[in-house]
Amino acid sequence: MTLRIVILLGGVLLTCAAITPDIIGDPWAPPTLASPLGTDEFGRNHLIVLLSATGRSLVLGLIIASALIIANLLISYFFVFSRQRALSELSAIGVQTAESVPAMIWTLVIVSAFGGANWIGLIVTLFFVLTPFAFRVISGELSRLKQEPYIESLQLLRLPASRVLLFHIVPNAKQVLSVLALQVTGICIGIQGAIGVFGFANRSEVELGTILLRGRENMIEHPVIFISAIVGFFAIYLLLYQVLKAISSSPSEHSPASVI
Amino acid sequence: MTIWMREISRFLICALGAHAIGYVVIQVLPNPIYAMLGMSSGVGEISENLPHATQTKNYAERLLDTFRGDLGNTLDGVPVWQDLSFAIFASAPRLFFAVLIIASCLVAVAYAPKRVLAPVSNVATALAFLPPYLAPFLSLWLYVAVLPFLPTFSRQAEEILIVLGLAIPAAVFLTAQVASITIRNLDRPFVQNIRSLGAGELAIRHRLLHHVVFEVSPSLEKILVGLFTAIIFAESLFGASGIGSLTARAIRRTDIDLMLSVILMSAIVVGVLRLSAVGIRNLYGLKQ
Amino acid sequence: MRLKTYAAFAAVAALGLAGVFVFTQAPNAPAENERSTVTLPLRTFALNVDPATMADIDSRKVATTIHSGLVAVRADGSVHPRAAQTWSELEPGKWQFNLKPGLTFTNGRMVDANAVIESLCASMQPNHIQSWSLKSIAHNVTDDGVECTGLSAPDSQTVIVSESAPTPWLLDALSAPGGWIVDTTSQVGAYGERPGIGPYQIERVVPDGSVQLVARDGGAIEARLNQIVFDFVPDEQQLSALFAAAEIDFVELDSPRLVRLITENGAGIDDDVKIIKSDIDRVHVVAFNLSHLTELGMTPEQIRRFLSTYAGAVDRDAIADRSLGLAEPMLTPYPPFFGGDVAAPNSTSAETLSFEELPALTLITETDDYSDAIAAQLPGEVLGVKIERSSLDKGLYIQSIFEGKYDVALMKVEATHKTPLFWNAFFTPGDPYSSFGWPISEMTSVDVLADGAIEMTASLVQQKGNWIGVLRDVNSIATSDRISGLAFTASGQLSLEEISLSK
Repeated sequence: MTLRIVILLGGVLLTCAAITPDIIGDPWAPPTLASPLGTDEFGRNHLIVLLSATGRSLVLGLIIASALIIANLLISYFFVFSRQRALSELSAIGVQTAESVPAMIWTLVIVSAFGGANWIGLIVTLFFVLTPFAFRVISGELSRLKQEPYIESLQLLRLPASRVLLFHIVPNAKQVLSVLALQVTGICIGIQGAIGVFGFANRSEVELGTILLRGRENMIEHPVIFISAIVGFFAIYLLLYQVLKAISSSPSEHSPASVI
Repeated sequence: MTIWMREISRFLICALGAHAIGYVVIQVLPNPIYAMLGMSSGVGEISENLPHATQTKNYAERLLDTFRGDLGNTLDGVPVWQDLSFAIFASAPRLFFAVLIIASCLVAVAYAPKRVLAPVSNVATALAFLPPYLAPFLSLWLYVAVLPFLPTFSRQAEEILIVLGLAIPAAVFLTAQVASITIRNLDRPFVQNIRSLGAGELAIRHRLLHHVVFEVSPSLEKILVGLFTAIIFAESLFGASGIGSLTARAIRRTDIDLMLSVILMSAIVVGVLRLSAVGIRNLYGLKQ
Repeated sequence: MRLKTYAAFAAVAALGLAGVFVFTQAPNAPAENERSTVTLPLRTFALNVDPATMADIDSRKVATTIHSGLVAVRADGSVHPRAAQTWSELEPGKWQFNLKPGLTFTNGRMVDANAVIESLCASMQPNHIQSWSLKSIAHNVTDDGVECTGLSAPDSQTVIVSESAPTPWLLDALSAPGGWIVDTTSQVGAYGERPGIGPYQIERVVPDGSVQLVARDGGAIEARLNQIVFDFVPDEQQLSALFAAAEIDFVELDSPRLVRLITENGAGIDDDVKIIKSDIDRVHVVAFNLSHLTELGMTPEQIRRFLSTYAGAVDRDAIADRSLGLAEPMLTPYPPFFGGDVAAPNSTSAETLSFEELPALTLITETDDYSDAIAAQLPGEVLGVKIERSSLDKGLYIQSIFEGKYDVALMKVEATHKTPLFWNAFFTPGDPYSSFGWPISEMTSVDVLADGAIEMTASLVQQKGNWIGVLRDVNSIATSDRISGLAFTASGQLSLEEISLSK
């Protein structure tokens, strides 16, 4: 029941992502029936802005999390299941090198190089910055699974890698992948606010990180912006938490008989 | 010995590798002349008066200079080592107290009653989802709110709130981890055994603290990186000198020498922490 | 084991106490001499006080305390002695300045006529950011630079400045950064520090923290304070709170949010606060990249139609209202001109022009609250062409405009001294700022001193330029009753050299 409500709410939010809030009145107008949270500094209905921003942030987070996990599953599988120890060592050094520098520095540098906070620049930035982290987590899990007897059996049976990955590794790595997806989504949602602190934001952008940034700037005069942004973050967290909890708590698909 | 040689080699490769990657990435940043000269950027002769903004050293020259101890000059003409050391000394007390707060959270959770561990873990996990700059935002708001009541202690209040702003994200992350580790450990068979043998709860927790330290040691690096990220926000928001403000300034102004030095410093510190984590795990007898 | 544990705790406690001691010696804390120290805010920390390369507002504020010129010209037109004790116009365009005896640079070197000439001549060289401001002084351009034929020193205390043609703004130019007297024999130090003749000198710079200035003897004027501290405060809410707590002595109200925080929310609006307003040559304009519009397929007629329709669509009154007194509407695209309406669209052949196939344009702005607030109220669609918004970091913003990689830009432009030459430099081919305007060939033959030149230039810029006027700023500064002596130059920029404590 809870899961159904959550999925319904998620659908509503994803639909709201398509809305582009228009200017409806004066900046900082007080709440009315049509705009229960009033208007923001651009004269837009803040409730619509919040719903749209929550939806867009969710979409961005899910897209990047999915793409990141899929890409790193493939890369990690290649490195972990490769018989060449040198490759594994190389990948470990590469990840450690990239993670030697705080991700925030890479993020700011890349965003600056791309000319500000445009969507393409952000996606490239997030990929570059989060890949080492995702790779480390996923390759760690794959390394653990590699030691499992059933995986060894599958390798002896020379099953195609795609089948091994899709039907035997992913289902048994659900928990780790779920937690990773949650963390990555959280980072993606907040990133624009982070780079906005350093002056790279497009402040009229409709997404949660920027709303949080603007909320901070107007915390004294208009605290509703800040509070509503945090509510948006928690809404996404609860939504994802319920969904991922349901996914990760479903029974693992493994027994030796299912190999064939 | 082999493990240490391998780890030290990795440390050196990672530090130099991060420095090299940083140099490559920095090349695509905008020319600092634009931010420095504004609308006069178009007059080529003026930029001759900004020698530190128009350096053309290649990577090999920079690397050699670094080995010789010459980190170059900032865009302001200040030796990088001078700015960097000043910033480190400015941030050191804040980081020290932030680490104390984080360690206190670890101990507090490790000794917390079992019935509160699950809710603490859930709340901390939820809070860890929030962006790390939220705590500095709230700190700044608190500072603005209390300043009218504490004008003579404004500097001290600022420092305390900066420390809180940078400690909270890492503390929340560690709390979530420690809570779930402790919950798991309390259900282990050996704990049931020693409890049945009459060991008190405090003694059990004291024993489990070693396990907690051992299990979170690989996360030391992540905690440090989290602290570094938070300090960039906290110090920049408050306008306070330190390594965070310095890093933000280096990136905003495309100060190449300063940025490379910050990247190298960060890589070295993270590398040292990784070596510490290896040391801790060796201490507990776990071979790598 | 217990002993070890206690020892460990004791060590941590000792370290903690040491940390507390270090912790409370915050490096930002200036030396206190409260009766004659003022604390002023810096909003950005990119300090460069070298007049040859200084380009940001905060650096300029600091520099006004450490540098001076021969004279100081104020907003009311009054001229005050600085390096020059007296001056007279020998003939139109030829001035004699008699230097104050005993004047020294901050490094102790005596200031004589030769030092003044060396400094002014250095300012006239092409590698000086203010060289355009002293162009009226007679000179020859050679391969090695500019030969300053209009500067001479009949004796060690007298400087003669001759213009190639008399201009009414020479004294203002000599009082602006281009005319500041610096010791050209010294190397430029960190943060662009050069020995100057101002009443203060830099005592200490705390990176990303503060700039501490201390009074000195031998300056062009006597320092009225012992110490000035410029404290870096990037956040507006923090700034308003520090001002309300009397930790900061003035706030330049440069955004509507600051106006609300300082004057409407109770913070600062009481008997101890005064608001000083002055005119300033600072405007907000929308600049179109005409080359890019041509590349997109617009014909010259379409471009003119588009610009004039856009100009008519900008609700300047509403934008000015929302600035909360920080600005007034500006109808003209040429700031020195104070009259005239926006040109009505030509309604003959223009009706058949079609813009339907044109892609959306992007308006770029700097990332700050005020620019965002203005940009949000600019037209989002004109003649069927959508105009989207994007904020950029300052360096990227300047680079985009300079390299012509933009469609439309909201620009804030501030004149460093009061002369039409500054504004003409945006529209004159080959002039330094033409990348941020649009070169108009007829501008090379404009004589700014001729009768009707301003009106004629305004018309030229309106017909052939790329600017749309939006707002003309009004300088607003909230100060505590504790300080006085804030002065404004002829172009309305703030000068802090005479700041003092109120009696």
